[in-house]
Amino acid sequence: MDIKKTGVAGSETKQDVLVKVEPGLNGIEIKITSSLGMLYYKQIASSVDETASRYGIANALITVVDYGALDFVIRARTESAILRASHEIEKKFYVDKKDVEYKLRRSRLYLPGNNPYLMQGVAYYGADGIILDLEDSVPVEEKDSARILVSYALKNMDFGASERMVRINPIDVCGSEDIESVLQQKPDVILIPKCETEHDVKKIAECLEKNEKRFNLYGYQAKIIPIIESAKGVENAYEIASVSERTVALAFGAEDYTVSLGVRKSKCEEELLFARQSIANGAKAAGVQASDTVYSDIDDLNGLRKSTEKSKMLGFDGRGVIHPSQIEIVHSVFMPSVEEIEEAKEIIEVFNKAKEEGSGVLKHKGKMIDMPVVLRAKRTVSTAKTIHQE
Amino acid sequence: MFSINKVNREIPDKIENRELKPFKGAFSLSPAGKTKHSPRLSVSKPSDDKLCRNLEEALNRANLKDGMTISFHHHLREGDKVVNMVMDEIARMGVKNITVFPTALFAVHEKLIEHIKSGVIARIEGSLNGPIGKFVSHGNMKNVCVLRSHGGRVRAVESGDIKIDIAIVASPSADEYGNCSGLVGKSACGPLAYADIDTRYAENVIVITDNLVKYPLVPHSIPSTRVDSVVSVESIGDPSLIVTGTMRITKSPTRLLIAKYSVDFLDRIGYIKNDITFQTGAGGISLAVTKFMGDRMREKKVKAKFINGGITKFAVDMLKENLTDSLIDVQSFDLDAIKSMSEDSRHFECSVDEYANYFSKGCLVNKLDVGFLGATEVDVDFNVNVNTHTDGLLLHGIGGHQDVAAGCDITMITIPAYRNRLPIILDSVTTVTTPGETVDVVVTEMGVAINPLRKDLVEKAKNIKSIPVMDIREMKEKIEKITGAIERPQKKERVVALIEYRDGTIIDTVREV
Repeated sequence: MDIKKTGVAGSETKQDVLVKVEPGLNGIEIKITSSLGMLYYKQIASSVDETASRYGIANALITVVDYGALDFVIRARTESAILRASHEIEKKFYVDKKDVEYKLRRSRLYLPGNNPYLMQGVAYYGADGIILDLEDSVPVEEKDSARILVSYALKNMDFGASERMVRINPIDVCGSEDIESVLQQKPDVILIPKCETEHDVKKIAECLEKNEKRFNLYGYQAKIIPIIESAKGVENAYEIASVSERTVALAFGAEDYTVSLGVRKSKCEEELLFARQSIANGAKAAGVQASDTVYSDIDDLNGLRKSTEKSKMLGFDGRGVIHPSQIEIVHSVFMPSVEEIEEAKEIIEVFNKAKEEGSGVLKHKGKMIDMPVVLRAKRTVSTAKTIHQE
Repeated sequence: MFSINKVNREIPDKIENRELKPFKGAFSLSPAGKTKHSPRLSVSKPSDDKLCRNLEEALNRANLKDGMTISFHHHLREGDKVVNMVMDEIARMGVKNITVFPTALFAVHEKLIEHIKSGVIARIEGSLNGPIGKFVSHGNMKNVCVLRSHGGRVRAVESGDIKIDIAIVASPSADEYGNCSGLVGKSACGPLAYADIDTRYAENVIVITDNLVKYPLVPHSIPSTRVDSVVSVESIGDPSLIVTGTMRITKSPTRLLIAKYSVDFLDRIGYIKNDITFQTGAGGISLAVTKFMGDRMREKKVKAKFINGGITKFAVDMLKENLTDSLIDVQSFDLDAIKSMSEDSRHFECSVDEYANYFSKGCLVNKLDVGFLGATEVDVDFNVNVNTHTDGLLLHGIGGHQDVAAGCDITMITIPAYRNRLPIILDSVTTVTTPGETVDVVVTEMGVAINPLRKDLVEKAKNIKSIPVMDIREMKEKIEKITGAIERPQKKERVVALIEYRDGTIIDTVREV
């Protein structure tokens, strides 16, 4: 690959790195300055050199200004700068296995996809899902670089027990480029923003299918969570939730929704009631989970609790969070109550006993129990176990 | 010639005519048979007038001459104007080869570099922060510097290891006879605890104030009996940098998690109970720890016996809420703390001698259940470095680190697993400040590592499942997997500073970078 012009990627912020790739004459020449002095000089040099060699670059001047970036960030930014300097997108192939079974989805934590600093330590926050966002938090001119960073982050970062999620851009913006770029790292879930009709989901599902085949991602299927963020989307909630078998949950985004409704978001959230009910109902009718909107005032933890209690009451299984400090409260609200857990344990006991005795009749406190009730009981108990480890 | 001390560091036998004793263990040395240093006696005649027209007159009365040792205290922190003012005056008077003996220096004192270059300052015995630390690390100071803990500094003064010729007290209020208080005045800073020992042992004491009041100033922290001269100046410091407004708790999720793990851990091992005593500070994680301790104590309906350390609004609120019987204060960080100290008799000023001096008949740190401390690095033997950056540059003073670690029951190091890309846990720290034998628990966002020497804590922690408890080597490897291993810089042979342990032995040396 030839470097024909200058390509720059990254930023001058904590834990990021600014990489500039320019045409050169004397092989690959690398200049490094780092806020950490010489403490990682050799590793930075070899990561940059390796990335450049992988693209078959013979001559280039690469200037690296490091602000304490981790290795995967350095590699991602170098790759972005090279691609920006050469106009080419190279496809790579990685295989990696992780099954998605039944998942708790009480919280989905949004992280800006172009900010390495905010990606630190996510494994320890205990969110059920971590979303690397390529949409609203990434400015248009950084979309290309963010895609590459997110792809590296999916590959290298520890997500702990959290589901790895990516919020892509709408398909008519650059959603398909996003998918092409991140899919090889097998994110568990793709979140589709601004869904208004079933076609928005269908197009993404087709794009996922195409790319899974193209990259030979055998045994892997990306799950989908469509986000409804408009009045029109609310009207089509059930269709949006049911059109693809990949869909595992339907989410709500209230910020844009209030704009489309022509109202302001209020503290009491009354204006969201219809949308919340429609989305919860549409999701449940389609047999998927419902995930409520984020609570944007991170300092008001009491408000968060009240709002989340309302979400639970309306049928939601979880909600979006924008700061890790919100996770604990959200989880505690979506945590089943002591009575619910006790009842669930009893139901499981009845079920196990009936199984042992070969009896076909399941009765608890005089009521017949069918399989969905047993399943719900099992989920309740496993939820309780996940949260209360002691 | 050199010997290897208890923490495996090479300690030269002698440096600049000083015979060095290698560190032999936290409690191995005894001063038995030795006596305290005794400064000259003074007289006070009714006709004496202590008030000087200016600083020059006060320095002349103190017989300022080449080679003297001048001490300072750091209650005015980043806002301090006094250290620079005094050293500029000494330079103007043409005096050279001064040993500066501060309780700590700050970035505002970068100006001292000029005086080092011109030979006015020959040596610094005290913390070497920021720009001065860097300057010294690059070998720009002729003489070797000495760093001591707060308690170790008091010990050095009392034992005569260092003889103070002139002690400078920057006092937010003083009367013409030298009584000093930090509670009132535009530059109010709270206690004057760091200056206490210097005024007891210096040959001459000069008080510099920007709020001169009529005798008697009561209550006062330093009495007129120890003061030779008083100088009134326009301003001793910038009030906005002396104390901060109300400090905000960190929003960093990692740091909040570390604080939460720390409090959870103490709770699980049964330490959060009535009459608990603990020390916290004003750093990012410390404020969160103080707040979370308060929340947990309120929840469990228990009350602390005392809280000490750098005091902030968060500790003051706990006193007001009756979550603690008392606050013991060596340094106030915000206006709430100063106000509380002047209004509430349960908020008590404590000299550094009483706080941390090992060679005394009993200091406060010995009565602490838990000390929450920071670190730049920790190693797999639990040795802690707070003095140097990983590249070897001097960065910070010791503060009370060694003293609190040695005294309290559980020394808890609360730190992020890595800062920028730098891992916090290493095979061997760059500089040993505090020996691992006095450090009990390391808490990062990855979980908790317990010093295997603390078999009791290891046992108590066995059933904890809500916090990951792991071997420190395992934690080190997990961190290194994220950051990559650091490439150690080459250091030169020459020693630029000594790290003294609180008993006066040498725990490590700092070499030129």
